[in-house]
Amino acid sequence: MATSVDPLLETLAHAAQAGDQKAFGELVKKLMNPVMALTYRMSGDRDTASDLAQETFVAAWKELAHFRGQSSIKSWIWRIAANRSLNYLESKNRRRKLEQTIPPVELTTHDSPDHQYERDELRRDVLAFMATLPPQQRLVFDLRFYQQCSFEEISQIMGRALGTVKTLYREAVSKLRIHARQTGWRS
Amino acid sequence: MICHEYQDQLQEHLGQDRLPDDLARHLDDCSECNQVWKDLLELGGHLGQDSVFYPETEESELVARVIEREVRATTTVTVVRPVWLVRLSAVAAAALLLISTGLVVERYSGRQVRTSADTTSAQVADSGVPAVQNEDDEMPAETINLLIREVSTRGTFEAGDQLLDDLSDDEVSYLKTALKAGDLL
Repeated sequence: MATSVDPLLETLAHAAQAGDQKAFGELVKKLMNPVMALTYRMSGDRDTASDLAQETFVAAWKELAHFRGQSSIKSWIWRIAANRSLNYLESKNRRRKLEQTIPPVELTTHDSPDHQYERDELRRDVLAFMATLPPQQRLVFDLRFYQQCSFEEISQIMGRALGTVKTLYREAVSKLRIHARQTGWRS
Repeated sequence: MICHEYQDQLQEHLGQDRLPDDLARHLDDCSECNQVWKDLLELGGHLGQDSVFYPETEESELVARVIEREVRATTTVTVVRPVWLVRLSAVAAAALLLISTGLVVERYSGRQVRTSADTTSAQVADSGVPAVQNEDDEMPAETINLLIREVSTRGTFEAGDQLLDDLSDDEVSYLKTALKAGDLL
């Protein structure tokens, strides 16, 4: 969970701060999947997600000297990923393109066909729903639901007031309920 | 709190493992709110978990390799130099400038400066600092060697002063005016 501090991650972060590239490489390995999942749901596109994740970690390496340990390293990297994702979404052309396209779903190779189909369907549904949310709301929803962040943590990550963050989440959930009714998610 | 407010709070807890005690107690007593929570849980189940969106292993490894390459490329080695070494470098640079200036002056003015290379070589040999041989005997080798020894051992401007002492007033004046070296001298 994002709210708990992982001692291993913090140790790796401190070693990386001292210039240990191997430690940073381990940190990247530990956080790669959740960061890429976040950027994927934010952007709706796998290639873009890879680019954003890459930018996130490279920026983290460059800025590591400024990490003071006031938040967990995970939250700190989340903040970078969130900013990168928001910047991407707020780029007008890309945003328009995103809203007009159906999110592509990549094929998986290690699942059974049935399982693979279910996962692909699930991803498609979620990405379609996420694409209906404004960027800030999308980010709050992602950090809260998928990353299990507390509202206080999201408030720190986004630099928004606690009440605003809660409101954004409630609005996103309301939209989700409407979306579910309209698209027949529920039986 | 009324049910509407409880339901707002329930929405805030979509995706969370646990509900606060007061909310959980309310659900025990209120079938309407209980149903709202069940619906939310069902929706949550449809959204899947974070891991559903993880990339393929090959893809994450590829991205990790690119990051590793970028990190290596952006790494700058920071060498902390002692302050005295920085100061010594400045002194050496100034001394070299003076020497080269003197060389130029000598070459173009045609003046013959007295030399005592033999004496200097002996002195320098004692100190362990290699002597500089001046092939044309146009420059005061003694001064050069003194300068190098001073710079390499103590790092002060004394050697520069020695050099200036060896120059005549006319030479110093020429340096100041013709070579715009007034500030240095």
